[in-house]
Amino acid sequence: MPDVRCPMCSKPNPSDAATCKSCGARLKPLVPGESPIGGAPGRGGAFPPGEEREPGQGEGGADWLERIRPAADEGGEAEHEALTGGADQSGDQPDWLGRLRPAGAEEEEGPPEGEVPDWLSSGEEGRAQAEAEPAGEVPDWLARIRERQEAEARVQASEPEPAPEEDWLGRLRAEELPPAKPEQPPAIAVPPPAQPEPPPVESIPLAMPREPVSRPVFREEVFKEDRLFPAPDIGLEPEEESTESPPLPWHPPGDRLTPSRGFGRKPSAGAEMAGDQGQGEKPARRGGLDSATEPAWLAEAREQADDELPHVPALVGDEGSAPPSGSSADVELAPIDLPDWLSELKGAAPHARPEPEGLEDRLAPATLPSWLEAMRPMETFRPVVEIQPEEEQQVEAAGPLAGLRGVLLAEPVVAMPHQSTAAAARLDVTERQFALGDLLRRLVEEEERESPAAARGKRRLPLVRWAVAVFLILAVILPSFIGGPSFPVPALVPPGLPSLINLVNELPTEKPVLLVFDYEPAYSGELEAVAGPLLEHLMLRGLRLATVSTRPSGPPLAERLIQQIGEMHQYTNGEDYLHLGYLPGGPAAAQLFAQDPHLAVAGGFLLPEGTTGATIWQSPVVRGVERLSDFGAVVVIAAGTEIARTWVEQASPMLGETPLVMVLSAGVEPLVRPYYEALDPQVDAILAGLPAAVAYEQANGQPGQARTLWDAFGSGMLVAELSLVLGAIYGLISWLLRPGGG
Amino acid sequence: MRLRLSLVWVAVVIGVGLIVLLGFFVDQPVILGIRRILISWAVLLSAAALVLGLYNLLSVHWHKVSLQERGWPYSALLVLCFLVTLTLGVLFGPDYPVILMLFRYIQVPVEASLMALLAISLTVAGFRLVARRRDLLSLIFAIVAFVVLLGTGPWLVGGGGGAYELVRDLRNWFAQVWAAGGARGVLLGVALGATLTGLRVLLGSDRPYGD
Repeated sequence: MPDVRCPMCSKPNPSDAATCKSCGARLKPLVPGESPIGGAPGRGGAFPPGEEREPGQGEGGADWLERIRPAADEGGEAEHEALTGGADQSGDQPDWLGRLRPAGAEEEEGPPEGEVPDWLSSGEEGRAQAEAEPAGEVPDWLARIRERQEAEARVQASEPEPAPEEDWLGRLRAEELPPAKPEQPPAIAVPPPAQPEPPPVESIPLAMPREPVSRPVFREEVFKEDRLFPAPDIGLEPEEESTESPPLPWHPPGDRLTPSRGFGRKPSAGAEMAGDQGQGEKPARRGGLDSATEPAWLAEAREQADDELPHVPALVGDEGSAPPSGSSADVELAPIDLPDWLSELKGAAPHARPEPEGLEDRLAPATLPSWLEAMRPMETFRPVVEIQPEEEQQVEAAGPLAGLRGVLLAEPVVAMPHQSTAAAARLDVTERQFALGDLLRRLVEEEERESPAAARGKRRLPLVRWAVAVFLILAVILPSFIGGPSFPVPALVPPGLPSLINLVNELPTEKPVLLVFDYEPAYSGELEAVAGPLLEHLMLRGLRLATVSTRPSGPPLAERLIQQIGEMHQYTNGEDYLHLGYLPGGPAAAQLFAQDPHLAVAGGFLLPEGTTGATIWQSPVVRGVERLSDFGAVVVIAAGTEIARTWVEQASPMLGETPLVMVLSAGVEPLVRPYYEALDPQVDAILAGLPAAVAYEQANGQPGQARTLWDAFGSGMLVAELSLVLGAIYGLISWLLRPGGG
Repeated sequence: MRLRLSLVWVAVVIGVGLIVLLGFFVDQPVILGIRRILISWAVLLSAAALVLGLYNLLSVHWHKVSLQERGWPYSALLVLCFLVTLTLGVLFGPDYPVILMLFRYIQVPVEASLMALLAISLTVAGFRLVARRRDLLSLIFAIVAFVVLLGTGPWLVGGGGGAYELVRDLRNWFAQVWAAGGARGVLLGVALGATLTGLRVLLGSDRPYGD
């Protein structure tokens, strides 16, 4: 038992099946008086009344269709003959072709919806009933159609009879063309090949094969909408041209023009295949020119199109990857309600013959050419149409394409979500990143913000500071000006003073005494008063004095002190004392001077006439001195602990039997005293503080600078002691008066 | 190459240190002669360092003057005095009478005045200490300071009495026992630190001259 192919999905079904087991479409047409089987295939799935009877299913139609199908397997002229002669050889016009015109007329002048009578919806039987009806019962719209048909018949009778093989096609086109141009000359029907004028879609004739509305067209449309990259001139027609058919020219009866090639556009592979294979099967949809009768411009345009135009892949890639060109025509033909036999032929045509070899090589299924794919902005949208396997493709549930799979979606670009170009430039910021960014922004703002100037509080007069300062200044100044208050000189002699006095008294007079002035001018007030009695004692004994310093300010300070005290003892520079000058280098200089005084001393300071740095050691003051131990004594006058320690540590190993005497500030004494009180003392005597100096002066019997400062010193010390006492009393009272205190 | 230079520097430092150190223990003319030369080089380097210090001082204040930063007039005064003193010293020597006059009538009084301000500041600090802080250490500090001041300074009355002797002995006990004890500890620490530093330098483990 031969299978019956479904007119919707082309799947084979048993011959006795009423509906397709795959898509549910009705396999057998409904006949008036026959109840539908299985219900309607879907919304709007009921066939229009005028197409319920099909030629293929009728008694007469089956014969000619059986004759056509064997002819479809033949190619070339045989197909053309089958196409044109099939209808003629039958001797009369087939019924299905005759009904096409009324069907097309119904599109324009049909009755209002709901007014179609039953006799009209029931096919030939209904037509017969309508002819039998009295004229008075014919509706107006049907009367107009009949009048029009009669007028056309009269016109056709007056015209020369066309070739028998094109009679059916001419009449069909004559219906589609405006009646005002029935005799349009053949020459004006051919548009210029370079700029064909696109016609409106509504003007596409029934038999006009059209370019398929395929997926690349949609991509191209999106590409154009983005306007990111200008599309190069690749030969693709604009989108309007791809979706709309070119104007339908009027063709003379003998001019068999292939409309799709008349636009300079290369038909798709499927179209070629269908054109090559199924001309005999689809005579109404194919009209072409032979190569011999084809105009030169059309051949040139075709060649150009073959060379330049890319192959537009098909939308549905299954079952051959590229649908035949007729598939697009189906989209347009669907609203016209093709009969089932034609749909069956359409579905069977791609399977009639295998695809020509090399088709896959020329066309990438469902893809753009690589050069065009490279220009496509990938981030702006996602693929708009994805080819799915047939099993996953959705079955169309509504409209004339109900039951078909892989039908082009009605919302390919507009309705499908895609990324907008504006949003593509935005950053995808998470909450954490936003928080961190906000923190950074606030930090930067705080850095840039000028901190307000600290509000000046109410300036309070530092009474305590001023009071202490005033009392101290008065205490120091008053004894010098008014002579009081007078403080008694210390009656007790400091512990180390007697040994120092004895040491000075025992110094040999033939050896000079080295005086090291290593203190800053800030300490001159104290140290000059402390060192004065010792220096006077040395002068009293008539000892020669040589000065040196490891500080730049040392030699002037030595000159100042010696001048103050030496005036009374008539000490002169170069004879009684000599300034060896400044020893640069700190501890290294002390070390070098301790090892080799001649090497360490460079030039001297305030050298007398005739004495230079080279002959300084020839001076009578330091004559005979070769080493540090050649000095009678080394007296270091220092105000800091480091300098005193440097001389003790660097010079004492080179001193031998030469005594080392330290004249110190009162604050330095505790740190130098360990060198003095050791079992093997490195310091032989210490003179520190104003009280010891006053006692030394008393021992010398000549009051000096220390005694002059004694009263001021005593007053200042008294003010300092009183400040401590007053501060303690103030703190105690404030603590007792404080709430919760005591 | 860098490793070799580092080894050279370490060898130089260890050699120089050992020679100078041997001079304290070995009385050999050769050792003492080399030691003397090395120390004289150190003195020259110290003098050069002093010159560099003066140059740095001048450049820093000159920069402040050129950019007119805060306090730039003081820097300008310093630069002016520096240049005048340097010019006079280089041209006429450090014992030029003008230099001595500047020193005697400007530098010495200025520095002595600063020291006098220190005396006033210490006195005020002592007053605030005993008036505001009432903890044990502050109390001890105030008592010791008061006793040392009493024992150091003269008394208006009773300077020769038993109380004065008691206070003076107490002051000496503070100064010669507690202060000297602390000072000896400090000196011992300094000595140990200096010894350790010297050994580290001599052994090459401490390279203050750079790698």
